[in-house]
Amino acid sequence: MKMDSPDVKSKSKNPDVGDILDELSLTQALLDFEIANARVIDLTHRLVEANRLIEELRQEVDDAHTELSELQSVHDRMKGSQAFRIASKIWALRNAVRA
Amino acid sequence: MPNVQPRVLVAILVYNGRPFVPAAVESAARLQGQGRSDVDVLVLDDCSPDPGWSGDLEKLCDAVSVQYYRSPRNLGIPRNMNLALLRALHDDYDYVVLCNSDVVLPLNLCDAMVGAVSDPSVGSVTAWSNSVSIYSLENADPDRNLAHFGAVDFLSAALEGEFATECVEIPTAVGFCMLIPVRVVRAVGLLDPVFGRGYCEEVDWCLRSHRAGYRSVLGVATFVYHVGNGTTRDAGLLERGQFTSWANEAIIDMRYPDYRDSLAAWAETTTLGATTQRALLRIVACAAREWGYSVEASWLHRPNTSDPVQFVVEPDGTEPLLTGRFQGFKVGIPIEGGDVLSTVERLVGGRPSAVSILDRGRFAATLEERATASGIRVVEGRTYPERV
Repeated sequence: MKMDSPDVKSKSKNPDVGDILDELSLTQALLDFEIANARVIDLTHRLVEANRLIEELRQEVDDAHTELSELQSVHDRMKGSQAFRIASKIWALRNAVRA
Repeated sequence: MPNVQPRVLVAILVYNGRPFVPAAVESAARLQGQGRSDVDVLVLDDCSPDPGWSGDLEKLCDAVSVQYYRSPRNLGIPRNMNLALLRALHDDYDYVVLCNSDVVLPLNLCDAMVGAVSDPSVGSVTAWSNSVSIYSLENADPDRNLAHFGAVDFLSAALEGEFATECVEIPTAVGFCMLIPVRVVRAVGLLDPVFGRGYCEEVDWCLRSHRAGYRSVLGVATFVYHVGNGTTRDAGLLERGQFTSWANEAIIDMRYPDYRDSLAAWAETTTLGATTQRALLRIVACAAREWGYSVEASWLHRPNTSDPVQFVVEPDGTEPLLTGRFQGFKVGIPIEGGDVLSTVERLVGGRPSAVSILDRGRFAATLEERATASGIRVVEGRTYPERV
């Protein structure tokens, strides 16, 4: 059975109704297109801005990781020093005497 | 000054739906030329692809004298609804009713819904129905009980008698059957095509209308039978088990972050529960007056085909429980002074055709005594206890 072609003219037994609705439909379709296009442009701008923000935040996270790594290294060196070991022992002795 | 009838455009949005659309169209066609409104019906066929269906639908519309238009391309529900709104604006209608095609409309639809917008702050009226989201008037088997003209006409007349122009404020309309004053369309605008093929477009429109100062109400003086999701399942908008479009719900959440909270707040404060009780009592009472009724004392109620209306009482409950039943509707009724027969006779305004005693108990014994004393036929059905 033949399928209705999308190009077939809209049908109405009452020609006035068909003509009126064809015109209303076409006019509104053109308006809808303008709005849809404006939305695409707006969403594209917002997407680009969001992407930029993601990149900034990614860089900040990378920088924070690097700083953390350096500070961790300093911290480890400090804990491994003789001065720190002596101080830890004095502190442990003091706590034992007080207890 | 001549009494001018309000002009109403009833638009039925169609996409395939061969099994249920004819009933919708024929029920709508009846609205023309009767009632207090000047009604025109327009069927908007959204380029239905079902082979031969558009041709058959056009012939049906011609046969029942309603207007028909087939879009040259499929627009989706929001844009098809917009065609109806644009037509209403273009031809200076006073009101436009947007309807799904899986409905059966009652004769009083337009009069009742126009009555509900007598308050100019009302921006939309949704018809009551067995399937209207959280506002439904539930029925045990709506497809069997309600899907015909006689049923919706009777129910609507009963509800109109109870409620007249009363309505219940709701958070948003339901697009299956909603009336919008055309002046409100001018103020608020059209439905947003961002909702694609459908779902949530009327929620968005209503919430925009609320920001413009309008309210959405449920028109409780009319009843429309609704299959529910018939149009959208047929169009492939919904998967099995799905009842909405989650992508469109996400747009609503983004645009209106307070909407879900407002639904919860409405549920806490609404009077819909009390209105529903009134509606069911009215329906059962009207049906009992129309077709007669019987009273039954039993633990396990079984439908009685000879009495469409039955009032069933538990024979010996710790709390008296009387239930009115009619064609899939059920309503709990407080028993006044412990007297079942008086309670029911006062509600209906007449005596039952019979009293059936199917189980023993205190209420059953009292009921049997009263019925016998009043000369009402008593039917005994006890052999052994019905309940284990």
